[in-house]
Amino acid sequence: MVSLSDYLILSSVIFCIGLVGIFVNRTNIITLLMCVELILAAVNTNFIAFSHFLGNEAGQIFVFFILTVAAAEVAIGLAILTLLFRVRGSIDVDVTNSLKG
Amino acid sequence: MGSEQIIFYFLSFWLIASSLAMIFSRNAAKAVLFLVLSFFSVASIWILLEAEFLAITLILVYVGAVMVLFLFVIKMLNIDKSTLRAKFAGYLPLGLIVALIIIAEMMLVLGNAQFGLDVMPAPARHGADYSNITELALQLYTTYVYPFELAAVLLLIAIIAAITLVHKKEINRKQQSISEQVNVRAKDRIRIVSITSPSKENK
Amino acid sequence: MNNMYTFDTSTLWAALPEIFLLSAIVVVLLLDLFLTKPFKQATYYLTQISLFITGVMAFNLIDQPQTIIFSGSFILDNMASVFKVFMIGSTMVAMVYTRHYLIQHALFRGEYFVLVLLSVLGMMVMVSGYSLLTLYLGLEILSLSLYTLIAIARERAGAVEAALKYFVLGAIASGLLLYGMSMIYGISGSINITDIANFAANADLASRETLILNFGLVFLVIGIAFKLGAVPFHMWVPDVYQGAPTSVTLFLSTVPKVAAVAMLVRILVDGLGAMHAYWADLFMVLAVLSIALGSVVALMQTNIKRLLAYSTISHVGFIMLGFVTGVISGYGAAVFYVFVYILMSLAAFGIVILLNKKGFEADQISDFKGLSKHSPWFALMMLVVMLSMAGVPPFIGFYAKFFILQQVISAGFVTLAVVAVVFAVISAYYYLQIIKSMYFEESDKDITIVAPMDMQLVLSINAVLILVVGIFPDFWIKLSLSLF
Repeated sequence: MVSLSDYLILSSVIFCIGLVGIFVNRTNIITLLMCVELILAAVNTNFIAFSHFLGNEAGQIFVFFILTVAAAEVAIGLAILTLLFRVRGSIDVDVTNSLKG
Repeated sequence: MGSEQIIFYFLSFWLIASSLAMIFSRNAAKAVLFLVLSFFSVASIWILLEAEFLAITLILVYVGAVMVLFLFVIKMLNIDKSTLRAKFAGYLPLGLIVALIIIAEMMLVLGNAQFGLDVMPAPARHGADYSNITELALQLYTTYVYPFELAAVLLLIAIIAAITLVHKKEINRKQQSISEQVNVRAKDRIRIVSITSPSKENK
Repeated sequence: MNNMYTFDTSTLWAALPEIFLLSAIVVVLLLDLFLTKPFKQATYYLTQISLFITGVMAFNLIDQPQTIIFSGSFILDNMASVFKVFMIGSTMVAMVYTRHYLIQHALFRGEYFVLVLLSVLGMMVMVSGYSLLTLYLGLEILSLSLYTLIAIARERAGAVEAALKYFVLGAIASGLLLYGMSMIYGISGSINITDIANFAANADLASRETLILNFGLVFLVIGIAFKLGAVPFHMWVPDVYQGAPTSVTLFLSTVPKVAAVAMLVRILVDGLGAMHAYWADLFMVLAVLSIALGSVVALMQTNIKRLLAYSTISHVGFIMLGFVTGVISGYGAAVFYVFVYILMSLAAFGIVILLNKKGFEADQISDFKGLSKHSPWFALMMLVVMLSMAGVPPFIGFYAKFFILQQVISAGFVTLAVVAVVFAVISAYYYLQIIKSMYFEESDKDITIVAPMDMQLVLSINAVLILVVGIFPDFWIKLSLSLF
């Protein structure tokens, strides 16, 4: 039998891969957005695993809404990205830099 | 090792492998395809956890719509390859070390002592007459009707935002003016000019 | 079995302000489509009227007994109602300040107002959220509207870049917050704050349960700190404040802070109040770092929006100090500080906007040079705001800081109070620098104020309030304490 702990560890590994992805892809916005999706997938797996093992549906309902939010978020994110491309001609931004003092 | 475990480890392997391939891929379009593979594995794992509805939604909504949207933007803007990849290698070792430490810590916290089978026994599988969709729908439209409405607001914002930000006003766009088309009269378009035939005059 | 699934319509009145506001949003959105150019101003007035009616509705719900509806996901209590009235009032003031700016910078579009209304709706949902799910959805409604508002100046590369930064960091923060929420749900078995509070208050928690609660708590605190803009999760604050159009910065730096504090109270105080000893330690670190960095880095700024961003970070540090104390009077002091911060921040950004002209963003500190010659009245107003932010008596900012420090000391954290005071004194330097450039330096530019009368009037009242409330702070302090 697969234990709850196995599922949680799997999702924590995916969560960390997502975080590392953000770390190494700091300048590539598209990949950055995909890493955020990966993090959300890990969170969703957490919720569903808990929901299954606790025998209540609240976790699955939560995931339903996270999927909705994420879809809306992607739409806005890609809209902003397109806008940036239109204004600047490229999308290379280092999102974590704040070095202007 | 039971069949469930074999399936779980098989799916986990593909999930982790494709996720790693995604974050290290230098080509954005390929990264999207790796992410699609990850999502397929995640969806399969959700089916192991008896969340059939969400698994199918993930495939339909995520792979079918969101990932295609990603691909569409990548191809439209032609940004497969990022130019700012120089710093990539410098951060990698540090990032990996930090990540491995975090994963090790998380494994300790989430390990068998906390969530093993003796603490959280696996629930009995539902029978063939159980419908995951019915179960969710019953709650969605009663207990969770308020969040459901809020989700509608979120989608409204997404529509407004996408149109507000990207929509261009009347540049390179030819529009029909339907009211003008309907109201047009014959005399606006055709002018009847009486022309006296020159041949008659010459006679 | 059937009574498990019920939907009770008799208690819908408790959500009346939200329901009305959502309907009004749809009406404004549709009407704006049909307004021709000379009547575009109508959208603005409709927005103000909608906000006003929503505010009156929320006001009428003050002093109602605590009501929890929608199967535990919505709470109506005094804190929710007072916060809603305050948020709506501040939004209305912010709209008065920004109308002129929007016209001058070609941002006066119907969607702008619809998005502001939507973000207010999101904040109201957050303030009334009583399950992790509604808190999350409210937060996302707010965030998505804000990303769009920042990017609405779509010809400015700076604004779009700021929106993108805010978007990416906000999405990561949401991911961390959700991871924490999943842990809390997994161990307590519920997403309702009521159930979580009962679970956490249980005296004989097994050690594995405490461990997982703590594990989730860390992620929750990081997520909330991100949204509040506390150090070390502050990277987005200065860039977004500087890049966004000033009208959006004005809104973004004020009202959402109330909602963020409300979310903090719902999750950490109402839900996990029993775990206070664990999260207070994290808060202490975040608060000290925020106050220190906010005060020191602000010294080097030449852009007033960036300077105010760092000043916000240090104010957020003070607000978090109030939650470190773990007593009701400490929480009350924090809420009082939020009220005061918003009053001051509205006025400060109001004056920055006042100096704007067509095609010219007055966002450098040097733009304030010689303001006292050209407009002695508004130079005086700015003087009041800056002195209040620096914490000089008898202005209101002094009482806010004093009240927090008093609570911190009586809770036994004397060193913490001393550190906070030292940095507050350092921060006084840059506020005084602005005053110096207003009063003792000659202007090299022509400063004429072209703002309409209604804005000048509201701005003057706002600044005078900072002085008057500072002399009679009792009512506000009592109000803040009564919310817990």
